[in-house]
Amino acid sequence: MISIRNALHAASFEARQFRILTRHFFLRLFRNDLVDFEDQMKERVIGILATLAVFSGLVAYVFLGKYDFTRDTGQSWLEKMIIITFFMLIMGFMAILEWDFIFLDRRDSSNLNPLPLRTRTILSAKFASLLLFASLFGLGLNLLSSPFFILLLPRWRSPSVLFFFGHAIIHFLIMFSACFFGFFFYVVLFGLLQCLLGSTIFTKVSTYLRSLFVILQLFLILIYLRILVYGLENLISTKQLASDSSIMGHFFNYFPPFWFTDLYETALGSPRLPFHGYYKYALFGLAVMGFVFILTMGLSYGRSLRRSLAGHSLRLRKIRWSLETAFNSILLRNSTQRAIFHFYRKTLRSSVFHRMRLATYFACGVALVPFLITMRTVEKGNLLSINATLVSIPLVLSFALLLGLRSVMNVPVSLEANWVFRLTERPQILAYFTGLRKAILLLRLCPLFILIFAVYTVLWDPQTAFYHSLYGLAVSILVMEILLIRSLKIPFTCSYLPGKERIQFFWLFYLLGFIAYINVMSRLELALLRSPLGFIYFYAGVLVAVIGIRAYQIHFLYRRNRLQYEDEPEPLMVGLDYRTPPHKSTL
Amino acid sequence: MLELRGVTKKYSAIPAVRDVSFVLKPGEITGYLGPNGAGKSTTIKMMAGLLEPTEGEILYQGHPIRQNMFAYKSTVGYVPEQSDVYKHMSAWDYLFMVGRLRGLSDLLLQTKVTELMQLLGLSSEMDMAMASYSKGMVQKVLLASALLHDPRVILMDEPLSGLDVTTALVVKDLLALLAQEGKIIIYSSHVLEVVEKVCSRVIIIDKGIIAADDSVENLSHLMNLPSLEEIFSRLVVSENPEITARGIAEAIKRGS
Repeated sequence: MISIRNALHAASFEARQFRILTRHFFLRLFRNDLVDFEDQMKERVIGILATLAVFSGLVAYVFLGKYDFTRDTGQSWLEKMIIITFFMLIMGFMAILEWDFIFLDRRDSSNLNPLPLRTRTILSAKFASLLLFASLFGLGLNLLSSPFFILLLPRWRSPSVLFFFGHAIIHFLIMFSACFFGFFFYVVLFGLLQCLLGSTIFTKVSTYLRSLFVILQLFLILIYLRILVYGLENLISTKQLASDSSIMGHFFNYFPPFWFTDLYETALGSPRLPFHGYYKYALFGLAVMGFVFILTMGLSYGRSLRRSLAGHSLRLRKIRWSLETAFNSILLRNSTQRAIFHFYRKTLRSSVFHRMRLATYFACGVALVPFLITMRTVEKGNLLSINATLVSIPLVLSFALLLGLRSVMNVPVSLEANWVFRLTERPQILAYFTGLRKAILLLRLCPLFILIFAVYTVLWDPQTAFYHSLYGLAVSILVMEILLIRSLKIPFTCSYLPGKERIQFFWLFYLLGFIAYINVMSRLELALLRSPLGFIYFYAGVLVAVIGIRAYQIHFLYRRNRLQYEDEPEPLMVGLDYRTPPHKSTL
Repeated sequence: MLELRGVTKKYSAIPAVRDVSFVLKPGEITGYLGPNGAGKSTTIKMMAGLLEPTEGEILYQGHPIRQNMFAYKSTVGYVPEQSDVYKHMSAWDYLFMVGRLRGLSDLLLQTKVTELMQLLGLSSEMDMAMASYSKGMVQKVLLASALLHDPRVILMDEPLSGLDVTTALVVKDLLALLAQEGKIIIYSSHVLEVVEKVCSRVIIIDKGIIAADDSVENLSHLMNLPSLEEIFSRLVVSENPEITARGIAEAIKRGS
């Protein structure tokens, strides 16, 4: 009797630990390095869920609204697949946002290990927290979209009330399964990569992988939006699907949204798809994912307990050092420039937050590329010719990159450590910003335009590709100068007040400005490509502009000011006396 | 000579340091003592040029430091109270950055940093991000960064915090050597034994006001007390430590 009571007590104690841990892990998922929800967490989460619900409701309305008056003779599977794709993309994106919090890390193991906790309690609580997180966003996605499925589709199959309720249950089951698949796909990928690469290598490449997946996911989401705006017909047609059955069948082997669409249709009892049998992939996929998740999480936790850090070998350091010395002696002759250049490089290399923020900006640029291509050139069938769209792509990419760099520079890293810059401050402010410009140019713009040159050499000829890349680089340098024109902040060292750009008010102007910039510069380049001699005048113009900006900075900015470490807040009310900003005036 | 003349620092009208005046001479190690919140770190930060006094003046070689802050800062080596460093960087990268910002050449830095890292026992960890360092290791990096450019004024705020016994002994001997070279050194600490051994002069600050400023011997003689600990207790400590300790012990036991 006593042993039963003890066992019950132990079980209830473990259940309590499980609940506490699940709550802890769940809340930690909202405090990631990209989106900090710590402040007003509930309001923000509700806001995001509401946005997701409204948007997914809108997507469902766009695709399924017609079934209010059009008979569904089986064609609705395509719309279902499109909506499922959208849900899976969003869930995948949510998983990438949580990248570093997916599995238990060293902080977890060092904090939880000393406590009387079983490993199974920790692991199951972590799994439950991820499941809860995925369910929450799954709910957001399904909230307003599901009524369109449930109310518009079943009557075309059967008038029975029983079928109506069965359809609703199947709908929720399949949609949540698809959401879990989309979310746990990246979770499992994370675990597999961590186990295959080993924790040391994985730690080093993790941020690069995460950036890559952010870019990929945003790219896919924007392609999706493009389909939403321009329709599906010029990308995929139902007639083509029927005629090219072998090609599409092969494609669907690797397209999970189709698996779940087939599962949906199969569960309803009378699958009406051109291809059938893929539902097994969905079930098998879910099972494999669950198994791999448990396996990799267990392995990862074991490793995080044993993990130790190892330093670089002396030989590697010597090679790295001699390369760096050669680089510095050629390109960074001033010691302040050197300090800023390497501080900038190392911060962007090490800080996950900054890297991810930059990747998000760049991803938006990358994701715009298929938009641009499919907007005009595909229809005209001149994808590879020299046209305004292809010419504008490097400008879009470099602009997104520069905007991202400008944005991340404002966000401090270890703000409390900036005393070292204050203490070592020197009057030659120009050297600080020359170092910064060199870092942006040599570490970001040059590699981008070398890559662009390689790609366009394949598309066009080397000479045109060279003109094109050089033009893009010159324009980007000018944009960089304009973006840094009033900057007195050493990157990553100044306090940060978010919302100063007031995007919510000015987004339309920013967008119009961006469109104007892309249009004007790409058309100018097209004109210059027709008569390449004009490039000389253009480069001379850029040079004059850059020298002008630099002269302005030296005379009106750097000589009259000191480096800035505190971000100045926007005044609450703008007074008429422009000489004294209101927040500085004393009453 | 570094002189503080009637220096006051207020944070939102609340004074942290009030009318502090003293002179630091070359070759002298001055201990700066006081309880938590007495204003030690604020004074040191003002001397480093990181904070501006609300009132009063700080003079170096007879000139107000604010007249040429850049030149003054280039003569200062500062070890902060908190181990605030860029932890995403390695010790090697951090020291190179500080050295470069101070205008040292890479060649000189390479020799200096390698040597300092070896002497401080950090050579095997110098390529690791400082996020993985212990408090003592970060403190060693801060000491190295403060002394890298051979400063004439050395301001140390709790420099031995987290350091192991061997390194602490090294630092104490180093301070004596640097003082012999004619450097101006101020050493702020809670550890009275170290101050007693290392410093030729002691300034005690309490609630932002200087409570005493003399050599340990003179203070001992004047107050008729045998050790610095007792002088400090008499001047600064207002509560009975024994009663507080007993209260804490009872609070721990409550409910168990």
